[in-house]
Amino acid sequence: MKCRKTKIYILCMVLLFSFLPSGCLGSSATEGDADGTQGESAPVEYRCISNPESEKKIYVILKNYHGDYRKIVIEGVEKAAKEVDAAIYLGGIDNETDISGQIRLMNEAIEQGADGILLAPANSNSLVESCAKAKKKNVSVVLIDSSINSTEFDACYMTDNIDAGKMAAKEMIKLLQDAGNSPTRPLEVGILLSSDTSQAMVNRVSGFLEAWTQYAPSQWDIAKDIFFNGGDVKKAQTDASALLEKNKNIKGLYGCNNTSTIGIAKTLVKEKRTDIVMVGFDMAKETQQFIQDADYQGVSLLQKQDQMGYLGIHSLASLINGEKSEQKFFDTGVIMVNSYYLMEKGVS
Amino acid sequence: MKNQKKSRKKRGILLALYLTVCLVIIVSAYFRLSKIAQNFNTQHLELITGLYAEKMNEAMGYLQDFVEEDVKMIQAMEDKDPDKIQKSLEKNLNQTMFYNIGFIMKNGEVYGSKYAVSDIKKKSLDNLALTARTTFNSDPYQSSETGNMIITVFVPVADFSQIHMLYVSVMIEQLRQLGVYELLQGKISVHLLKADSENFITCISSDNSSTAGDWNNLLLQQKYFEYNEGYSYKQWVSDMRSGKKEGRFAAKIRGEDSTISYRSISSMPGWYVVVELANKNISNITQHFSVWGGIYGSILVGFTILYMLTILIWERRDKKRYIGLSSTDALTGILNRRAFRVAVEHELRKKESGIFLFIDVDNFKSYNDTYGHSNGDLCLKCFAQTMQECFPKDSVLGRYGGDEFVAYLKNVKPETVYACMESFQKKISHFTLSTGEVIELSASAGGVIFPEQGEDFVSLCKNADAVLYDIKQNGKAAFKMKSDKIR
Repeated sequence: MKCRKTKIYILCMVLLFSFLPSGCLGSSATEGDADGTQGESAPVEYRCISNPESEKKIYVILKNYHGDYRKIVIEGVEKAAKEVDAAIYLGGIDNETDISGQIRLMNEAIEQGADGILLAPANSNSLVESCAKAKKKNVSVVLIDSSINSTEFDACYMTDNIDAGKMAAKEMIKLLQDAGNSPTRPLEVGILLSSDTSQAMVNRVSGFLEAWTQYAPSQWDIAKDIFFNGGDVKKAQTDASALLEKNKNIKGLYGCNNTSTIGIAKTLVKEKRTDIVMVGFDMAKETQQFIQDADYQGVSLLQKQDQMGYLGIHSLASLINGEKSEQKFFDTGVIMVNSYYLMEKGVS
Repeated sequence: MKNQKKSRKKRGILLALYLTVCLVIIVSAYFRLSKIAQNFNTQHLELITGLYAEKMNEAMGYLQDFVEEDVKMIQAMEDKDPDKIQKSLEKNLNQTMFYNIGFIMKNGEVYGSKYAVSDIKKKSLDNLALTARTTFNSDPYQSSETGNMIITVFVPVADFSQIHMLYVSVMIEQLRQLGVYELLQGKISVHLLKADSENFITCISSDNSSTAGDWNNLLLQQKYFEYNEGYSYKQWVSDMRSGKKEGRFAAKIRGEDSTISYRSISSMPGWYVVVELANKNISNITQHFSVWGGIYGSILVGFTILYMLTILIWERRDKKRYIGLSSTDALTGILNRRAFRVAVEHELRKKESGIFLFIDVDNFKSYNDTYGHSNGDLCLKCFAQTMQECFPKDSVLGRYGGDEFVAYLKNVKPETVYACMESFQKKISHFTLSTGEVIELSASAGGVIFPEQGEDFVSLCKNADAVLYDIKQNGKAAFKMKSDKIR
């Protein structure tokens, strides 16, 4: 009897002591990073494209090395390479997700005694440490295409994407008006982009919305469904189709990058939606055909990526020669490509 | 007996009541502390939001005051040469706080550093300044010189023939530095949000993946938001666009329960300071307070209960001991008269048959006189011991007083009692004194049957005593049941 009482007594105590702390702490959240998977395709190793005998070494580290966009950057680099006294080593990664590959190429450039590095960073944060390491070793760093979340670089040549976004919004309003949309009748514009982790893409949306709120009629609105296609044209096509199906008020589509623009162009042609206008970025074959087709209304903003490569190499050559750049950011600008522009340039 | 039971029951109820009250107090204290902590967090968050909004207002106010002072200075200058005015302004500039200074001529020409002029022209701020008649601020924009985000304030220059407006720029970084608290580092995000376009600049980020100074847009972020019932993205935007000065709401952001507080910046119309804090980060700061409060509180209450139960157990043990002392005959170790009566009455209430015996040591007085009191006591002890040996184990045995003993044998037949008494007489017949001398001893006993020969303790006692008396009168050393012949 006595033993049973003691057991109950101990049990009561244990329950009493264990109840509250477990109740209080029960909601503790698990913590953990959610790093995205990173691509593992092999980096494109360095090859010297000019002046191998020169004592000065410039390493160029690109992303999407074999993409059409990068071909034009390389053209700019090759043009500048002929004009400067430095050995130019060209390398890069084959997509935008092989961050570790790009970090490895950065380390190799530093170890091989680079005087300057021209980098198209694949990620705004992951390359910060590598750039800081290079600067610490007195290696000049010039960024092209996009910036990093740090001041550890000497200059940056890129498109001012806020301005480009504003330009896109103004053009969208103009196209919508030209298509006969009344400013007093409600309509919506859909936005498609690759991802919201790219600052360039975010800035294109921010700039677009900034100008849109300033210049668009009050009855014209932005669709609240934003679609992310992750760089997949098929997904972009499905998104554009779903948006048009779901929202009958859509009269314009804004593609913030190459894949989104291709997806929109293909969908509009496939569904014969001549009533929808498009503003996009970059110039793939499908985009070009869409712009040239008189039945459809669309423009695309083309970055001057050749200028990025060209000016970037010249800037590095000056830095290596001891000239200090007072300016850090250089907007290489965009070209508005419409059917008239293509006609003028004689593009078939 | 009934009172004892009642009292025990009452005590049990009281203890249960006490434990329930304690539990209720602890649970309600926990919830109350959590609520206090949450209110504290909310107040803290609102304070922080207010602080940032104030810092913005102060900075912008200071900026405007600074430019107005410069306006007075150039108005007072005798030399109206623009280059000299620009040099004078640059000399006078507090470079720790401000970034650029210059002015816009009435003919549209912009003075200042080449990058500042280029940026102002690129953003068409010069055109805006020419049409403006009052002080205004630019939206934040990226300086082409450093890449930092800056805001420029334009102040009109009255009564001056050439200069239309003066401008000064301040870096967003300055504002960020004002708002960095070590305690909140990595826990809080602060943004400047423009209500119409929903664009925002992150001043302080809790997340290393996004850095201060970047533009972003609320619409793009909506896929990470999960609003609590009764609130929505549409509502939030509508509140801000309608000019609501401040507000607060809870939402899940990227799966984390968070609290968001926003407040308008009076010196920047249409702009809001938005502070975002994940509740788990709140937990780190203040919920530990309620958790540890709960733990220490329950430990305290636990020890109180432990102490009370220990006291209760000790009390019970002592009580048992005292009851034992008060019910036992100190010499023989069997029940005393009062305890015997209580025990027998308890048995009688069961209404089961039994036999009550009254036993007396024959000639005890002469033993005492002859062999002394110590031998007399020894004799009584021997008597009690022999009773225990000879009577059934469940019998109630007691010392009635002096040399008189009583016994109540449960559920036995008279024959059994006779056999017991015979054995008893036999065993006590030869008693060894402390000196080693063996003497003869005998007892007389009278018995009555319950309930036939006595229905209660008093009548049983009285009747058995009468039988005993009868035996004593007729030669002693014998046992007889009522209405029996002497054996």
